[in-house]
This record gives sequence, C-alpha cells and structure tokens, in this order.
Amino acid sequence: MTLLEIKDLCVDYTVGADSLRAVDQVSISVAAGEAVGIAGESGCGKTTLGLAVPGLLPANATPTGSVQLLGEEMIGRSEDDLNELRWTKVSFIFQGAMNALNPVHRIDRQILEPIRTHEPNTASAAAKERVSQLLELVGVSPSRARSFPHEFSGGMRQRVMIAMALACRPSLLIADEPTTALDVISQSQILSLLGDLQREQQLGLLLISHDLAAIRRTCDRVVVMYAGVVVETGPTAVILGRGTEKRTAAHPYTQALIKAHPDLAGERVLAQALPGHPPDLSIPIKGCRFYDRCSVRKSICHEVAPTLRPVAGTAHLAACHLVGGDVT
Amino acid sequence: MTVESVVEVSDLKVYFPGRRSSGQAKSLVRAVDGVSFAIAKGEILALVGESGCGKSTIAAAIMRLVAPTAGRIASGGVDLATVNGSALRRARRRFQMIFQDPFGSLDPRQTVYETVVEPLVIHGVPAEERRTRVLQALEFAQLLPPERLAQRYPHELSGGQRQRVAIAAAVVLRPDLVVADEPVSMLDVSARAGILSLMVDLRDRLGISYLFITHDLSVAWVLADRIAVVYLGRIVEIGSAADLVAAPRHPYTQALLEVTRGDGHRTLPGETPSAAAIPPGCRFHPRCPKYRLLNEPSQCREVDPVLTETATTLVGHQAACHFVEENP
Amino acid sequence: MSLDKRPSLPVEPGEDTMQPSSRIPWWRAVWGDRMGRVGLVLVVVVLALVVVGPMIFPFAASSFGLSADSILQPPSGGHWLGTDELGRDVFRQVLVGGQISLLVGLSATAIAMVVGAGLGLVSGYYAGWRDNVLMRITDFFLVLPTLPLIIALAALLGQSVVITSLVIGLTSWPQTTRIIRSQVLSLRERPLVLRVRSLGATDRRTIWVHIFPNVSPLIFANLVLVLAGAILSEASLAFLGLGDPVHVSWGTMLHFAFTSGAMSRGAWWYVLPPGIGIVILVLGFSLVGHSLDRILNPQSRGAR
Repeated sequence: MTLLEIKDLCVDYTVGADSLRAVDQVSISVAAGEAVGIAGESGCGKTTLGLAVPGLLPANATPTGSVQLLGEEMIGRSEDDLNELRWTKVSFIFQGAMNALNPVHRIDRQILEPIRTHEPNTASAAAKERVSQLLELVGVSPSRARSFPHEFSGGMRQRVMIAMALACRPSLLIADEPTTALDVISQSQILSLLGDLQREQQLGLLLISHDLAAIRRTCDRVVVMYAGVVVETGPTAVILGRGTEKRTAAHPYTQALIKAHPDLAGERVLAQALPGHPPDLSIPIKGCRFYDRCSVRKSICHEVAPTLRPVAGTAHLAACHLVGGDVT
Repeated sequence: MTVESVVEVSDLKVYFPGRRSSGQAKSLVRAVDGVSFAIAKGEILALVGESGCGKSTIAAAIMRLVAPTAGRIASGGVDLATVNGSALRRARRRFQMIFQDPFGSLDPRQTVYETVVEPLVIHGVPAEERRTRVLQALEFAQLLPPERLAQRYPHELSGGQRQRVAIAAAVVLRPDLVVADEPVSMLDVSARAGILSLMVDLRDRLGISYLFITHDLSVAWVLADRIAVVYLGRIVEIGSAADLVAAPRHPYTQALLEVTRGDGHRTLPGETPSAAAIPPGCRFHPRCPKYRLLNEPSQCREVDPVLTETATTLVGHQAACHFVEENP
Repeated sequence: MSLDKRPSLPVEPGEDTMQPSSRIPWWRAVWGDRMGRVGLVLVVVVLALVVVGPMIFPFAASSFGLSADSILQPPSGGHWLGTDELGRDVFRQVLVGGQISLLVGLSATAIAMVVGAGLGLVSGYYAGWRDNVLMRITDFFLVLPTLPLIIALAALLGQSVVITSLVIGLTSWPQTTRIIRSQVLSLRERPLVLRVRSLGATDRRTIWVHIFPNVSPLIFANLVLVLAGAILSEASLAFLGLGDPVHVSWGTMLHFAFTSGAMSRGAWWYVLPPGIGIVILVLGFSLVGHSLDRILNPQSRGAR
C-alpha cells in the first residue's frame, strides 16, 4: 500500500521581490513498512521537501504539484484539515527536536498532549497507560515519566520526541536529521530504535539526513538530492552498498559525496575535496545543476538538464547524461 | 620525548564547582581528570571522544581560556598553566585556535581583512608588514583572489570559506600549534575534505602542529598521526592512528569503532555518566562489555587503571585497561 | 509544540538569525516599515519646525505686552498663535520651547545612554561578582522615584535645564543597562569572543572592537526610545512647575498656561500647540524606536 505519493512537487520561496525554487519537480513514493532516505547537503531542499508533506512550510513558501498521503491530497488543504492529519496520519520529528520540549512541563504531560488533542475521548487511565507503553517502546523507563526535560540527556529527549510522534499511531514518520547534535553512540542507539520501530509497527519512514551512513543502515531506498532536484534514487544496497554488496552509485555527485566520507574499511587517505558550492537557486539554471563542480562533464551537460533515467534498466535511476547512453 | 615537543601536558586537571542539587553537598565536576600527552613538531594529534568527555575543556585549558586546576602545560620553557601577564601574551603568539562554528567565530561587522589582521595588530607587528602578511595568509588558506576576498563580510561567504578565514587568521602569526575544536563538524560533507587537506598542507608548508578535537573517529583516522581517545576526562587509549584503528585495545575504543563503522548494531548500554559522579575504579566499567564478559572482576570496580604500553601492538600504543591483553 | 519559530528559509547550520537582515542604512530600513515611516515623518516635521523655525521667524522673543489688550489674544495676523498671559507671541514660544524640550531630552538621553550602555557592557562582559554588584546598583536606581528626587534637588540646587536633564538621565539608565547587558551576555558566549581572547586581546579591546559594534544597533534603537521617554518626562516635570523658569519648554508653557488660568479662559491657542507638539514628538520617536527594535530583532517580529 502506498502511504505517500509525491508527484512533481515544486516549492517556491518568495523573499522580498526575489523568488527561489527550493524544490524542483521532485517525485517520491513511500510504501507501508518502507524506509526511504533523503540524502543531501544543506541547501539541497530536503528539509523543505519534508516540511511540505505535513503542510508545515512557512508563509512565504508556495508548493505546487501533488503530495498524496494515504490517497488524500495535502497541497491546498485547509489548516484545520491538515491539523487533523498531523500526528494521526503523519508525524514529523524536526531537526533539533529534542530541544523543542517544553522545559516547564513534565514528560508525561507532553506525550499526552497529542493524544488529548487528537483523541479527546480517550479515558484518562487509558491515556496514561499509553504513555507508559510508548516510553517503554522507545527505551525509556516509564518510571521516569514524571521527570522534566532537563533531567534527561539529549539522547533520551530524542527518544521522548519519538514517543510523542508515535502517540497517535501515525502511518508515516518523517524524521529530519534526528541524530545530529547527539553523541556517536546515542546516534547509533536512536537509529537502531527507529529501524526497529519502523519494522515492528510497519511504519513508513522518511529519513532526511546528510549522513550517508545513517541512511545506509536504516533505509531500504535512498533519494539523493542536489540543488533542489533528485539526482539519483534507488535501493540503498545498490547505491550506497550494504554489508558485502559493493556500491554502484552512478551520479557524479553521489560518488563525490560517498568519497567525502572517510571509509574505515578502505584506504587511510584524505577524501577528495569537492571544490565550489551549490548554485544560487534564485537564478534560473540551464542544464545540469552539478555542472560547475562535475569532473566528468560534457558540453551537453551545460545545455540540457538531464532527467532521471534507469541505470542498466533497473529500479536504480540517475539524472546524468553519462548514464543511459546519451553520451559515450 | 626524544623528539622536540611543541607542548607537553602533564597530569592536567580541570575541575569546576558543580551546582548544588537539592540538599546534597556541592559536587565537583571533574571535567579533565589527569591527562598527559605531548605533541611533537609537525605532528597532528587527535583527541577523540563524545560530547562532554572533556576534550574541548583540554583544548580550552591549553589556550588558557579556562584556568587549569592542576598540572603542567610545558611549552618553550614556560608552564602555560600558571604563567601570566606579558609572558602569557608572548606564549599566545605561538598557540592559536579554530572553532567549530565558522560563523560564530567571526565578527559579522569586520571584513575578512580586519579579521585576519587583528592578530598582527594585537601582537604589535609593524603596520607596513601587515597587508602583505594578511594577503599571504589568505593565499595559504586558498581564498583567492585574496585582494577581493579580503573585502568581504562573513555573511557573504559560505561555511567552508568562513572556516578558511578563521584558519587564515590562525596562521598569520606562524604559530607552533593550532588547536582545532571540531573545525569541520558544522560544514557540509563535501566542504570538509577541503578544510582537512588545507590543514595538512599548512602543516607540510609551515611546520604547524595540530591538536585536532573531534567526535568523529573516521575523520581523526584519515587526518591525524596519533589518536587519543578520551572518556570522562581521561585518555583511555592513545597510539598512532593506523595502529589504534587496526588494533584497538580499550573496550571503549572498540565500541566507538564499531559504531563509526556502522556495521553491527551492538552499542554501549546506557549513557555516559556525569563528570560530577565518576564511577569508582575504572570509570568505564559500568558500561564495559569486557567487564560483563569477564564476570565483573572486582579490580575494575576498585582500581583506576593507568595508561600502559600494550604488549601486542606497536610501540607508543597505550591503553588504560586492567585486562587489555585479554581478547574474549 | 509551538511552531511559530520557523525560519523563512531552511537555515544553514551556524547561520546567525540575529543578524540585521541586510546592510542598508537604518533610515531606509525604518522608512520601509510602515510604522517607522509614520514616526520618521512626524519627527522630521517637528525637528524642522523647531530647529529651523526660530531662524526663519525671528519675532521679538520677549516683547512684553504693552497693554492689557495684548494679553491672551487669540490667533491673528500679527500673532499666528495668539499671545500668552504676558502678551508674548505664542508661536515664537512654541518654536523656541520645542528646542528646549528637545535639548533637555537629548541631554538626559546622553547621560542615560553613556551610563546605561557603559554599565551594561561592563556588567555583561565580566559577569561574575562585578555583574552582581552593578546589577544591585542598577536595581537601586531603577526604583528611585523621579519626582521626589527632582523636588529635593530643586529645593537644594534650584531649577534649571541642567538639573532636569541630570535627574531624568540618572533615572532612565537602568532599563538600558538591562537590555544591553542581556545582549552582551549572549555575545560573550560566541566563539568570536573566545577566539579573540585566545589571540591575546585585552578585555578593553574585546569590548570596544568586538562587542560594542555588535550591540550598537540595539543601543541605537534603545536610545530613540529613551529619548521619547525623556522628552515626556521633561514635559511632565515642567508641567508640575519643576522645570527651568528661564528656559521655557513646552511643558513649562503648559504649566504657565495652567497657572495663569488660560484654560478656563478658553485660550486654546496657548494650550493646544505645546501639548500637540509634545504628543507628536514623543509619538514620532516611539514609533521609530519600536520600528528599529523590530527590524533589528527578528525574534520580535511577531507571529507570521
């Protein structure tokens, strides 16, 4: 069953008189029980994409295209309708969410909040029981439900945020950089937790991260974004490699991104620097957006923007002229 | 140390008064609890550990941004831990620091030129020399063309460029040692490699040593000559980067490596204890897999291990573990 | 979970959202803001009148009434705003009185800002025990009542623009100190300050070269608001008869209007001009000050 179907989504920001297209014709789908990772660096549009799904874009952002959640179109929906769908059908864990907890309310009260808002008919005892269950689910002892956020470490607070997100049993969980600002060990714990939860509860997971390792271990499919467009997508095992499977990333940007992560299993050598920086999105771009920084570019790359095409006829797609036989 | 050292740290301790927590006596936060190491000329030593382990405090103590409680920091015949006044000022010429936040470490109201010339002004470099030295530093930092970039303000630069400005300001005085506190953590992955290779390049060209602080073991591995793993204010393992990663001897290092590699979902239980309540004996024993595997030997609970040479690895590789040779 | 702190564009890690959004000069930014534009217009109009006016309209400043007929005369060709209880031209007085109101306001503000910002900088930068001591002193001045103070000083040292400026200045600085101090407290935690200190910069240099320029926009916004308050305070004190009897400000004019029974005699031309002048000047500066505050502090931009 398809939980999320994004088709040709574009998001334009207006800042003063200028307009900037942060997301350009992106299509992604997430099925029930599937974990999809959106990989990319700052400014690629992944956060904007994530915010567009539950309709959390700021006032100066205009989405166009289609975002269908469980068959319901999200774009253009009224705020009231969206509020009903948030937390119950789709939950969003923000970047730095562990700092979004209200410091003067106890943890149990904060987890109860979405329950009380969206399922107001729940009996008080049943709601409290649910809070305990949720805390156990995320690995926090229910005896600590009466604590305040500052009594928890960053990792534990993030677990509380995940508990909150799951409180009303959503079908889709969107997590935007859920592990930045955490310790390496805590990061690993949270990612394991997300992976386990996602499998056990058959949740759809959209994991937005710049950390390829996090996506590799948690996600079935990966979507690589650059400057607002999807440059590569396909099974994680194929693109990023998993276990014994070698990686076969096809797009030059994905390859550069992978090379930029030091690989403990490989050679002890400094990664290749990727010179330059992403293009200015307020200026319309002809041709491939990665052209300026690409080491294998051809003249056609400057003229024509490449579309996503299959690599060797599989589910692995890449938006590069060198893939699919346009250019030899 | 047979090789000429740039700095020798002996038994450094930095304790902070803790907050009084409801009724209990004022606790002592032992952020750095007896750390010793030396950095040779032209060497890159990485301090690796999770947040709160004390690595940043060690850096702050060496830079005298925080007063050490005990211990020696010997460099060029002075003890940086206790020296004051003009002697301290002269010493500051030789040690410079780079910070994690590229934007926060620059003055938004100063041009690049003003930022990079400031160390020269503070240390009384004659005015005629200043411009050439600034432009040269900008060139070293690969900010080209230097004349044009010198006029820019921080908000007009990318994260990577801002960090290069900070590096230029750090090397303009030709220091002996640069302390870099997580200099690439806030940068995009593709920009990191550039900064790291710049640092190595400056070491090769100008003979600068580095104390590189990071939570990312893989970055330390590719960049540093030697790695020191820090846990709760102590160095638990130290050795050459290749050797430490190939044959880690301390259980904490082994866990960090596993987590950083991303394969295997075995992580450490629980959270790092607070530096105000350091466990007795070996501070790692409550979370140590080896401790449990060896049926909780009392030695780990009662005796604080010291760094000792490991018999089965290269010379200079030390670990602080009672059972360092046991490989269960 | 509140959601109203969303940035308008996904923010790069390390991006400083407390920055002024552009490098345009302040008046252009204020002009762009509707509230600020109104304030600027009001202020400029009054300033033009009050600064340039007395030069353009050099009526004899104090031509005393020659007969009872010239007392409290309504506006006429010869006297655009009529005459006061001594037969003097009210229009001329309004122009000159405005100068005095402004002068006292500015002097008081200067005192308040030098003391207030200075202490705020020192207190915020050093923190620790120095901060504690200075804050307790600030608290003392915060609760000091202006009125009894000026009455006491007036009795001791007489009434003058100097005394008035001093008193208003010395009772206005605490609010500035608190605002500046809190901004400095957050600035000093920035890696910038650590970096500069690690270079060997002295405290004096750090405060003067780095901290002060970065709080000066805030100081300026606060200055404008303090000025508005100072002018209003001066008007109030003068109205109660505690102002300088020689240098007549708008407040003093109102005082004389009141005591000479001009109001009961229906001499609106004597009462309304200074009153409206005060309102317009204070309102103008307040609007500009609030507009500046809003521009400089994105967090206070209110709900989107």
